[in-house]
Amino acid sequence: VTQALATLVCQYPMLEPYMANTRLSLHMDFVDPETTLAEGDELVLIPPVSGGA
Amino acid sequence: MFRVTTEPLSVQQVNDLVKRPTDGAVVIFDGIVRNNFDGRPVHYLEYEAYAAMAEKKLAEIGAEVQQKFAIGEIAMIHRIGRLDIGESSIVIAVAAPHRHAAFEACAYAMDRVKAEVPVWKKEFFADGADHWVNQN
Repeated sequence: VTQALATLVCQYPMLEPYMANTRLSLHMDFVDPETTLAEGDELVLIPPVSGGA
Repeated sequence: MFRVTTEPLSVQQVNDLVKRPTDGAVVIFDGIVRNNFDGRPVHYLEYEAYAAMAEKKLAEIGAEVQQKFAIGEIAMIHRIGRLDIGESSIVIAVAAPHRHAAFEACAYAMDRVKAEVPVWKKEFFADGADHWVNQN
């Protein structure tokens, strides 16, 4: 995951300031940056949530 | 029941989902769109969600709450899309044999929702400005 994010931020530098507050999700669960991605995995960037009321 | 919907929420409907004859209490949290953010007038809100994951997280929180407290059924419905002042954004209903567990479980569930469910709120102010709410 760490590697994938580095590539992403390299391609889209505008993401960089947000990464510290961004959580990661794989298969609809939160995951650590140390997680290993498999072929075809969809990595989701989750900005700080603000649901509820 | 754990859902994300664009339809207006009905407190009575969510209440009816959880109530059983063995329960002596139903505690409901009805989250309402407030007309201001720290005193600045708010015109309306928009909620967006990663809906599939949000429903999964709501269900996980529901299971966690049932493990932690002596309650019966729990239901959580989150509304998304445009919401006007005074409308309900989330309704949580917790039924339990006794009231204390229901009160505690309901408050705990709401705290977990705020921390873990991928839903985002954007406030549109009366003066025309807008911003995404960032609670971190």
